[in-house]
Amino acid sequence: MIRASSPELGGLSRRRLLGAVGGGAVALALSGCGSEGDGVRKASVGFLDRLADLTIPATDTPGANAVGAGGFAERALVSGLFGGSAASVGMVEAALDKAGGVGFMRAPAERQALMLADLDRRVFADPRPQDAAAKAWRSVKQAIIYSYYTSEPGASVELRYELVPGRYDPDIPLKDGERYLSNNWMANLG
Amino acid sequence: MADATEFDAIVVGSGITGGWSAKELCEAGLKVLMIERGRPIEHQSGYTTETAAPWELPYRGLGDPAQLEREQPVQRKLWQVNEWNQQYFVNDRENPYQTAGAPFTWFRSYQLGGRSLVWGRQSFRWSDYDFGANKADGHGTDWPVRYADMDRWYSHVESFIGVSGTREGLPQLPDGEFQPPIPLNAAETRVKAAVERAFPGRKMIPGRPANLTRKIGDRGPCQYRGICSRGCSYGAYFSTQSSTLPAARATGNLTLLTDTAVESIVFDPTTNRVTGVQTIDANTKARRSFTARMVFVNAGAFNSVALLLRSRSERFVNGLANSSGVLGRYIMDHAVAMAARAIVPGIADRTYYGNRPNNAIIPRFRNIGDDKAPFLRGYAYQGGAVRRGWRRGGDMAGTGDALKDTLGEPGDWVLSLTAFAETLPYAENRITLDKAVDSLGLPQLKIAFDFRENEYAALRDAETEARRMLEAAGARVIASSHQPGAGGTSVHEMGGARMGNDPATSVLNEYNQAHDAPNLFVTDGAAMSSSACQNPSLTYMALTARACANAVSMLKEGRL
Repeated sequence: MIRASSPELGGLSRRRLLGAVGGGAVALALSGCGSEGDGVRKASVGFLDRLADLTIPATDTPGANAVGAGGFAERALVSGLFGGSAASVGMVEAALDKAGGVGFMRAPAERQALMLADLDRRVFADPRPQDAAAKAWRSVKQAIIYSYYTSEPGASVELRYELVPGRYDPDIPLKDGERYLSNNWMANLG
Repeated sequence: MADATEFDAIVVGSGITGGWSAKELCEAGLKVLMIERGRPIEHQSGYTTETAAPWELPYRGLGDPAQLEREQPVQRKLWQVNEWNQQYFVNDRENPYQTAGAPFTWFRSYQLGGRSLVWGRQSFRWSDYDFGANKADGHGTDWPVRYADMDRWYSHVESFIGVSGTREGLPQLPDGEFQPPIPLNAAETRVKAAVERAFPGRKMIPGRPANLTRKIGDRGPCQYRGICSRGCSYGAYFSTQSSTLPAARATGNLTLLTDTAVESIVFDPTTNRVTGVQTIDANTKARRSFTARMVFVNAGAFNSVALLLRSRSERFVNGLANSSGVLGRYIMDHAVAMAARAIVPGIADRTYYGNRPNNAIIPRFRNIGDDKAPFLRGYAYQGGAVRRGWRRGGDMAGTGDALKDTLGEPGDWVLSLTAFAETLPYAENRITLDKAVDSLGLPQLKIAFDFRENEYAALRDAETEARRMLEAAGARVIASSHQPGAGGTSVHEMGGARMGNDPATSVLNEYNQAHDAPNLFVTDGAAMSSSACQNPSLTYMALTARACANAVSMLKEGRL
């Protein structure tokens, strides 16, 4: 079990993931492959990692960037999972830039957090968004969340991963602050 | 590889009923050849993904969408299919079939153990409401058995496979030989009390899964991992591998042949008996012949029918044992809809621990006792409550520390009720052989299947009643539906070689014996004359054990 939470661990995890899945497709994915125009553009280098960490930051446990969540999230989106595509990440960056009136990646961290929170609030205020950028953020957010909580640190350090509970307690009090099982499969079907 | 070619009995298929046929016939002292078209998978060592963590899989459990679309475009539509168990479902490209009219999703498992490795495990007895239904309303042909014929065989099967459940005394869902139940959780208990108070006669009870809560022999009790479909090395749920295959092997009477499809069953018109089977090696395509004194067909309902349809001869030009002309007709599958889903408030301070391999059910209440619904027969609900987990984070507003903090704890209690409605037997719902062939050169099946007004009416009622019950319990309904999934969605496809008293209108008699060939038995879902609204596998197993006992008696008496 991985228990460390240093950025170095995240770097290693990310490199391992990139190695494991083969360079070509992922390199293409990380650079984005949407064409310019119509709000579709390549995401900036490092944008998805930044976005992931703003969504699930490091606390007393690793954040999304430290566990390499951006790597699997990108791969999932390019594969069409979570309703995403290779253009999703670039669309989210374009939406953030446009709404903020300033380049998201050039903004200070506190400002970035506010820009993302504002986009998130607007997107989730509409239960069935038709706007492509809003749909893109929903997809990207799902991918980040999924990627984080199915990583080993996300599943077993931030939450609890217990493959063999060994018993079923049907009705017990919820203890204050107790972490939920990440491998509560039926609770996470989508 | 089987060197011998002569046996007392040949069993075609190694799934839920094939395993039972092999066990019962071997234990009766017969030399049995069990033939499986798919690859061997050994108990425990064969479950290669059983303990894999999400982060150890390339797609974290979701599977590669491109590969699934290319290789398993039908199988991937089953919600249970994932990266851990996709190898237990067929490659659709290599195993094509045709449909005529409405879509039909045919979920299949071609391997040792068949779908017993991945089944839903709910094991319900049928009652005389079910066995008497065709006669009562005139749809389909009368079942040649009643509950009194089945009772002891249900007990025989339940005692061996291990079924957990509560004794309820319901006439529409008879109690069985139960191990201690896997109980309802806090939300279900709350809804149960409200429903039973507001709707006298309706019950919400634990499901009855073939998951052990007490050890049976070498099979250990459930560990509440909730990962049954990966294969269970504890043997805690019933499968061919965990249960019937070891029993059959222990007799020393079993010969197992895998990677071998049965092309046809051979019929001898001079004796009016079947004499054996012709097979095709799935890898080399080599053909072989095996003979036996009886043949049990347990290939899975539609494949069992296909095998009979393929087994043409001068005597049976339209398929073996098809003098009635009904072979392939009256196929069924439950009409399934997600009737309602609701948030259950007021118990945010309660939770549970462990992954329960079970659900909560509301047994049929329509057209039971004094109830008279404006449609025939009935439906039942299966579902249950969970507290939503981390994945809800993708569906809700929030970012940063606050989101992470929220997702550390359980979310809302959400209770779902899925309706399973009985589908009437219609002659036009049928399977035939197509001109196109599969990778073994065998004719593909063509499936013509659709639901009709009676099924739609039942599901409309099921949606209405689910909403009423949940609202009576103070729950907030967030979604409801009466739209059935495509045919095949419940993975309860059945019929096509129905049992009946009259050889002119049915294929099999009361002992699953072909009217036209007394040493030919079909004991899987193909034999069903109606569909009820309960999961059918327990009834398939009971019919199989009963048929085996009768066949052995007849063999010993020289009547086969």
